Amino acid sequence: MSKNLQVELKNIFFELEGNEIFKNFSLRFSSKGISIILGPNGSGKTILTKIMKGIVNIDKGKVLIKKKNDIGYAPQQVVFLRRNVFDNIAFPLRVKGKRESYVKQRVNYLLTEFNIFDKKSFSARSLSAGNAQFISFVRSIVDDPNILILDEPCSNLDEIHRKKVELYLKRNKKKKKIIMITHDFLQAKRLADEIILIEKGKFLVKYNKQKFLKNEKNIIKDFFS
Amino acid sequence: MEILYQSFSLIFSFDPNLYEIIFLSLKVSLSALIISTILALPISAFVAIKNFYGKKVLKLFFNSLMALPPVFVGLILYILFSKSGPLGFFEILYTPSIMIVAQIIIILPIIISISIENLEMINKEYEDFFLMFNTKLKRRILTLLWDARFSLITCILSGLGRALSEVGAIIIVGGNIIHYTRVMTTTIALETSRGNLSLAMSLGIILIFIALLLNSVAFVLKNISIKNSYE
Repeated sequence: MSKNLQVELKNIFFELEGNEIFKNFSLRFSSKGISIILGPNGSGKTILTKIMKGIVNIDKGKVLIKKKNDIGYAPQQVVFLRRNVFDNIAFPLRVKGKRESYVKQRVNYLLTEFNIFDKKSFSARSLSAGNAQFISFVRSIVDDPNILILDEPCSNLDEIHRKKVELYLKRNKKKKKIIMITHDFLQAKRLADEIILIEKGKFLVKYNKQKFLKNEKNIIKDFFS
Repeated sequence: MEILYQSFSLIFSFDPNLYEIIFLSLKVSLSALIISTILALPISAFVAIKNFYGKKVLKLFFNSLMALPPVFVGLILYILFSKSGPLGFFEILYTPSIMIVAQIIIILPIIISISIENLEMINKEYEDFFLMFNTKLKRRILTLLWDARFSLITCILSGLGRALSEVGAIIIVGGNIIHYTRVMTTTIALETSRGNLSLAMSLGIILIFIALLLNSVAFVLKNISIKNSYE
């Protein structure tokens, strides 16, 4: 792994319930900025994020990540503790043993910053799908991680919340590595510094933003055909 | 009807002998419950979270112990703790202490088995979540126990219900000694055989009242958890 790279997958093999998901899959992400992964349903995008986060173990290969304990992750399927919004956002900090005064200060800051302070005491599990996804995003950044992996973080969000997420990502992309899955081509165009296309567990191609915008029509046409 | 009237008179006359029996019952059963809960919950959480060799056998073992006949428990404890028994030097036979031990043996597997089921269900849901945040075992256990608190209270209450209604073991090891080891269930058994039905009935009514109270508490807690979406 080169000095600047933060995330790299080398010759990954992974089977799930007898189905081969990845066979000798390799991928290098740029060291900073936003990498968007695009691919049709069932192409292995979500499993890829789980592999990077260490939630699923690969059969063979290497997952090279600079600081494994410094990854923020917002999964596609949001899971909340049977607790209120504050405690759910605070959980990653408490797991890391941060002082309670810091936990309170940090979580309250984020709740205010993202304009969700009024939901602080709500039961997280009773939130709407959109609010749950937004809170899950806020939870993923609570520890200000160096690497951020987001699996369709805006799929249930309204315009206002989507803009808030995108604004945060744009503001932080120079100091973080952000890897994001989306099905929204327009969002990919707005945010991506590099776009990675995968299909059926195979890495197809990687574009930088200029190249992607230049060949956009052909890419989309090829991709969907 | 006459018996019922006399029973209620006994209850509302606050007869000291009657209330002594009730308080001893509660003391023994609550002590057994507290000790069993302290032992059972970490064991249940550990079994629910960890995958280890023999886990299924261990769960089967705890499940089987749920059906342990109390009379048999009493007999074994009697043999162990009688003067000539290997643990006779403790000198606790015919004391409330051995009654607590007997009740622990009876209710511990019940609390463990039911708790494991509840905790396994929540753990399955939280598995990825714990991995997401690199949660250590101790934190996992504490998180699970806290998040399952409402259903665990129901498990614990079922243990208390079992302890309070138990008679077979404590009558053997406690000896049903008046003012010392006589509790509600053993008194009911004794007084019924003596024909003192009003005292037996009044204790029966108290037992039913406690059972109703426990169920109501469990019901209210369940509703609180549903209302707050903590289910």
